[in-house]
Amino acid sequence: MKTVLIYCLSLIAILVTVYCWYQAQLAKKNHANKKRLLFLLSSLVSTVSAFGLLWQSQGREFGTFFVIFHISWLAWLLILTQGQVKYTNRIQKNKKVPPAEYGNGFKAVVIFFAGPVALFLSICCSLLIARYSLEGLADQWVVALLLVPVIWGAMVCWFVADKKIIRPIAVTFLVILISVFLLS
Amino acid sequence: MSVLKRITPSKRLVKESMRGHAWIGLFFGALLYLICLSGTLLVFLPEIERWEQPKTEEYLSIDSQNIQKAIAQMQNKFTEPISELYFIYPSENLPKAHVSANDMEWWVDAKGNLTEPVDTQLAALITDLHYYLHLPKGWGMILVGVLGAMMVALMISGLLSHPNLFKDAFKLRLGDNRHLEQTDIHNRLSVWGLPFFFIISVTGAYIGLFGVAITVFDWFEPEHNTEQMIEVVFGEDPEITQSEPTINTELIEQDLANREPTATPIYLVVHKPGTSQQYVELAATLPGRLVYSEIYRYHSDGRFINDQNLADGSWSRQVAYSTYRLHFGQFGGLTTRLLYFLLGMAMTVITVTGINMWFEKRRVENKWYAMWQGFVWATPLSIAIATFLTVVVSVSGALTFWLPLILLTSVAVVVYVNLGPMGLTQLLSIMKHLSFGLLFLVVFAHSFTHMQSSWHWFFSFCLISVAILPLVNYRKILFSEKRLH
Repeated sequence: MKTVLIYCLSLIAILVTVYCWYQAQLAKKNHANKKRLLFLLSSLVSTVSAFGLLWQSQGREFGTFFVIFHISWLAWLLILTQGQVKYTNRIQKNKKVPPAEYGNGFKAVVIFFAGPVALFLSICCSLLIARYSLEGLADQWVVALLLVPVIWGAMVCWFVADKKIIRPIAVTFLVILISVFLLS
Repeated sequence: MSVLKRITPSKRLVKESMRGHAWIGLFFGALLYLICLSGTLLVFLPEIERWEQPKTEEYLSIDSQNIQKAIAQMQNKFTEPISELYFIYPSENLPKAHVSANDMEWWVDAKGNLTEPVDTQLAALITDLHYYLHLPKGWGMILVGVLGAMMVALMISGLLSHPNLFKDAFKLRLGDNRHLEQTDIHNRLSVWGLPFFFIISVTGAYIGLFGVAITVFDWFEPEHNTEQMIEVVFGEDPEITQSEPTINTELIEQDLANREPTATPIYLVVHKPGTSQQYVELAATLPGRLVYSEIYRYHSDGRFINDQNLADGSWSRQVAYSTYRLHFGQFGGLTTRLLYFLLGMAMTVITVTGINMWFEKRRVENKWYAMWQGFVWATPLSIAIATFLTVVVSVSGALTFWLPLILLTSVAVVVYVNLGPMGLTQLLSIMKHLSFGLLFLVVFAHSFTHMQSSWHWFFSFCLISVAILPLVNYRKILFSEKRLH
């Protein structure tokens, strides 16, 4: 019973955090800086309380993730109260569909480099980062394994976003060369 | 200059990131949708298994002598050598034990007798869809890992293409401007759920790409091969040269209870059963710990060998062994799983609204749009059809899902081409109603033939409630409408 009560209390603390952020944003809009600061400080206090309560009842590992995850749905709950449904009688103009920016050849190049080549880069790069920042072998490999999707994701973004495809390609080759040289 | 302005990306970066975001989303959107939806359902995998095959009696504890009996009975079923024999303890999610070896699985009753083979085809269908997309296991796992990494890519590009991240944090505009509506739903769900989505994507990619990454690591580590690297991360197996033929589970359980009184056993593995190298591993969860389990090793006669230091070893070993529970929400009880289900649903909605936004922004309504809409609503219907065929008709396999999915998506395109947008809207509505109707039928057909306990009726009610979600008009229930001239 006590655990349930503490859990509920921590959820309220998280909700207060989100509400304070919302009020701080409104205060910013109205140029009420003192009020804004007050709400930001309150949000900090309620966040710390939420962590404290959940750590106490669920342990540090579970508690940390609970705070992070519960913020999402509690914020959505608050947003739902702000939602508006608007209907207009205006006729919406049809936008012109922009013509395709790139040819299929270009797209194929992007997919090739953003796919296997960037994956290889991300594996080399993450191993290099881990090797030069950590000592234990297991630590190095686990960190590298967790870094791979993040570096790969970032590289894929760059490949598909940059208009001058030559830039990510050049950096990819440079980083692969340096990584392979330093790793082997 | 304020901090917010400093971290706001430039207009050029926003435009380029938006283009990248759209590219990746369009390219992987359909597969991401399947992964997110199946992953959301998998949060309740033990319950689905329990609901699917409810014949055997349920219990929460089993005597160590009966465990020994079940292991011996399972061993007797094989003439060929077994590499590992698993005994999975009953738990609150799945209150009956089962044993498995060499791809064969049997339920065990409280007296240690093997009652019937585990036949949870529906659970296997959803699991295989999420793990491998029903492709050959090796390639499927890699593809799903790639999708995890692409999810990370979408998060990075999404953040960079959203300059008003803080300003718009609480905005929700619904109405006849479909693009604005889809954008607000997409952005609010994704921004506030970002920590969860990031953790799920990174852990998913870690699990899926483990094999590929470790193979490449191997090239740069001349002193270690792949197997040795795994041993360094997760710990080595003990080398046993002599072993008693029978396993003394009573002494093993007693030792664990003395050594770690708060530990809860989840499974027991007999390695190389029946040989002189036989030994036992007992995996047990520790309260408040995210690591999947600590593994305690024993000789067959119950003498303690060592533990794998998964819960108290190096931090990297603990992190590596925490990814599974973190990815599937198997910690903290029912509350966590409900939370994972809600956040998983949000992730699914984000993939759909993301692609909808692309179409709405360009006001594109063509056969591709019809195909996408058809695919989105054909997926739950195909899951319902597969459930019906598997549970009621006893016809199972990946085709029970993929065939209806392809067929129904094609029907959506044909209907759009011949009857236009109105026809498509009607078809989508029919699909939603059919999904609900079919699941309702399955639940009752299954319930009246199998169900004894109130839990099964409760779970059936939950299934129907989930199927009803797409039929609810949330705008009417939640919001007041404003009509502007």
